[in-house]
This record gives sequence, C-alpha cells and structure tokens, in this order.
Amino acid sequence: MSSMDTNTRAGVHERAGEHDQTQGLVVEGLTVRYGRVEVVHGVSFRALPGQVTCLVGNNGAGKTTTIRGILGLQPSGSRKVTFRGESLAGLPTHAIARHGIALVPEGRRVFADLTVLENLRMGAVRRPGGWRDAEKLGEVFDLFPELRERTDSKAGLLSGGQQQMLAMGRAMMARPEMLVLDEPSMGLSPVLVNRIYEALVALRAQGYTILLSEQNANLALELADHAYVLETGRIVEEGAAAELARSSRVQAIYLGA
Amino acid sequence: MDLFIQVLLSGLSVGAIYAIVALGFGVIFNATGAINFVQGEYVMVGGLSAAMLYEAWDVPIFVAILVAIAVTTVLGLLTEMGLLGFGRLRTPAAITIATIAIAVIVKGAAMLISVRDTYALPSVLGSESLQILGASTSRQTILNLVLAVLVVIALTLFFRRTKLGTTLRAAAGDSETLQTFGVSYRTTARWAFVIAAALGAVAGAGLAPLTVMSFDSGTLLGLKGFAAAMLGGLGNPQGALAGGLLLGVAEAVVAGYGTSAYADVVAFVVLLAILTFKPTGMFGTARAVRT
Repeated sequence: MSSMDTNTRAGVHERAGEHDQTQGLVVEGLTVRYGRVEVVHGVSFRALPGQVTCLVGNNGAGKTTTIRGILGLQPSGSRKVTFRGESLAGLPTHAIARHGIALVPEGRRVFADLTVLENLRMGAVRRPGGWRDAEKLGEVFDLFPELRERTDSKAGLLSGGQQQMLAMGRAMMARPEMLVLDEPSMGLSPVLVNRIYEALVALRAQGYTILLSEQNANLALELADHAYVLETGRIVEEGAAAELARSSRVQAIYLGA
Repeated sequence: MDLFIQVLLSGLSVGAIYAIVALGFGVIFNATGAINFVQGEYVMVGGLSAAMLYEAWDVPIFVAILVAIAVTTVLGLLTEMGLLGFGRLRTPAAITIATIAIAVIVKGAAMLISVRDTYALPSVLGSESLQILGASTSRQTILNLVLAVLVVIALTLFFRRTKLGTTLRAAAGDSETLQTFGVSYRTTARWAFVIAAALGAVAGAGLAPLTVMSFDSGTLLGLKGFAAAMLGGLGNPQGALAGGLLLGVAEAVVAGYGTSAYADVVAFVVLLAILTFKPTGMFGTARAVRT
C-alpha cells in the first residue's frame, strides 16, 4: 500500500482501469429483510476498485440496510454478491470481513469500554502481526492526530467527531481492500464533516476502494466517482457523481424534502 | 467474639468459592449476553472428579485436581459446541434456556458415573487446623480466600493486558461490530465457555475439602454463584468477589446465629432483593442497549 501513497488521483484511476470490472464489489438483485418485512427490493450496483462509490438517499431509503445485507448483518437474498470475483452470498459476517472489507458503521459503534489504542488494535485483530502493527497505527495517527493524544482514553469518552475518526482508523487497521462507510457525517458539525471528508480524500488517494452511504449528498458527490440514488429500497437513479449532483432528485434529498 | 470470627471465616471460605462461580457467570454473560446455568455443574464436575480420582483411583491429589480442571474445561468446550454449533443458537434467551437442559444432562451423566456415591477430597494443605484470633479454622479457608483474590487479579490482567482478553471485552461491548473485523461470534463464545468452565473447576477443587461432593452438588451452587454475581453486578470481576464473599458471610451468619436450615434461603432472598431494588448489582452500572 505504501507504494501507492504518492499516487495522484489520476494514477488511481489508471490503476482502476487496468482491473477487470468484476474485481470490485458487484451486487445484483439484493433484497434485505428486517424481520418479515422486506425493506430493500432487488438493488444492483457496483463499487469499482480504487473508486469512491456513493449510495445517496434519505433517511429510511435503505442505505444502511443495503450495507448490512451485503455484510451478512441482516438476512438477505441476492442473484449475486461478489467481491474481487469471489462470492460473498450466504457467508457469515466474519468471513465476509476476511475477504478484505472493513466497515465504518452507522453511529460509529466504537468499543466504548476499550481505550482508543485498544479500539484500533481490534481493527487488526484478525491480521497476523496486526496487534503490533506500528506502521499502520502511525498512518492512522498521521491522518487523525487527535487520536494520538488520547490513546489511553476510553473510546466512550471521546466526542462524536473523534469517535468517527476512531471508527475510520479502526477500519484502516484492518488493511482492507475496501472501506465501507455508513453515513460518516451523521450528527457531526459542518467543521467536523469537512474534516472527515478531507480524510476520505486522503484515503481515496491511497488507493482504497470506498463504498459510502450518505444523506448529506453534496459533499459525498464531490468526493465520489459514481453514485446511486436509493429511494424506499430501490435504486431510482445512477450515474457519474458529478452529473448526479445536479439532479433535482438529489437536490431534494439534500434539502431533506 | 470467638463465634463471630468463626462465622466470619467459614463465611469467607465458602464465599470465596461463590465468587469464583460468579466470575464464570460474568465471563459468559459478557461474551454472549446469556446466563449459563451449567456453571454450577462445572463446579460439581470439577470437585467430584477430583475427589473421585483421589479417593477411588488413588491418583495423587495435585494430579487429580489438574485432571479435574482439564476434564471440566473440555466440558465447557462441549457446552459451546452443543449450544452454538449443534444447536445453532444465537440469542441470549435461547442460549440461557438451553443451558438448563445441558445442566440436567451433565448432572444425569455424573449420577451414572458416580453411582450416586459421595466423595471427599482432603485439603492440599493438610488437615491441621489454624488458630486465628481465638477461632479455629481449616487451612483450606485461607487457601480459598487467596485463590479467589488471585483468580480476580489474574482475570483482570487477562482482560486488560492480553489480545484475547481485549477481544472478549470488545465482544461484550458490541459483538456485531467485532464480527465485521473478522472475529466470529463462536470464537469469542467458545473461549468464554472454556474460561468459565475452568473457573468452575477451580471453585470445585476449592470447595471439595469443605464438604463432600456428589452428582447433585452443582445445582444449588450454581444458583448461589448466580446470586453472588447479581449482587456484585454481573460481568464485573471485583463485584463478583465482593458479592461472593458477602453472600458467604451472610449465609454463615444465618447458620451460626440462627439455624443452618435457613442458610440456603439467604441466596434467594438476596437474589430477590437485588432484582427488585438494584438489578445492576452493587457495582454494576446500567448500560444502554441498541436495538
């Protein structure tokens, strides 16, 4: 990964172009249930390697449910869910994670009783040598200096913004192929939202494949390459992020209409 | 005064055992959210198998205790395999109910193997009594207290300082999120059952010299350990120690100054009182649960 640190945005795109399109995440016909109620009705999309793919939608559109379905956290059915050509369908969550997918969950969900350092280590818990991965830890602290100052604090005592940084750092510690971020801006002040998105720009430049869900569409679409608009569990629009940003439907979501 | 010291010592001695049983409840509760009613049977299996090995098979006492701990630990592993593997249970309520069934099976198997006989295990420190402040007590009393304190210290260090311990704490906080980092629910559950069973066996080995062991020694012990765990706050190691010692002393006071016939009632009164007035236990804090 370090060789790619200096890659420019364009460089990442060239790399992405070299890949077969099936190398990223491919989702076809995903349906997800909450109890007996189906809330995601046959969603299909792709997250291409080295790109930022965004799921945009209102509260309740099914963004979180879609992500939970892909990660096996919610019962789901699909024609196809593959990551780097390997099928994830029907696998338990921990096995899906081992394919190189790390989640930054909605609501951050840091381990409140664990310290900042312990939280970061848990991100790497399954990786050989991950428990003492000083190199990646250094990268996380360079990206989020706030965390370096609070390594021994209980994560539950951090501010919302710091918890979001911790959740992102924890996912980085897994050294994943793909980062999945579920509403990283939720509940944060505009200043902190900008801070989080600056970090995402840096992560994109490092070559991570990123799948992002956001209600806060403007910033997300500025960052993303490709985007899908979700409405009541269906994809109603898709396209290049820059074009979608001008869509009236997306503007309506952003304004909360 | 002599009677009081006597009562206090015997209470602490048994209370130390309750504390170790309570720790086992806490470890499994933290990892799975379930109450493991096999916990008392682990104590029985640990104590009974050590005593049987020593008495019936003439195995040296230290070897007998080590083998008993090993046997019980395997039983813990089998419990996890039965509940989460074979039974595919995942919800705390389902696991809790099913542990009752496993407890009955373990008890039945122990009845068949022990042919309903009772067995006794001497103290590893010998049978001479100790004089403390005018009261006479067995050396096992002191050993049990030391044992309980050491177990609490060891568990605390384990949970704070080791990778596995930290992982188990993370599972206690948010097992779903832990799964998204590649740790399966069963891995953490399996370790919890292994640790809880080993704790049960240690408690059994500490208890056996104070009483006699039989196939039905476990059920009541399990309930008392559960009461101690609730008293101290389920899942809190220091709370388990305090809860266990307090319950042991309370029982001894009732037995010493009242009648031993009512001693067993104490645990249930404590359990009812704590569930009614302070369900989080003396040292527990309520925690928010996302649904």
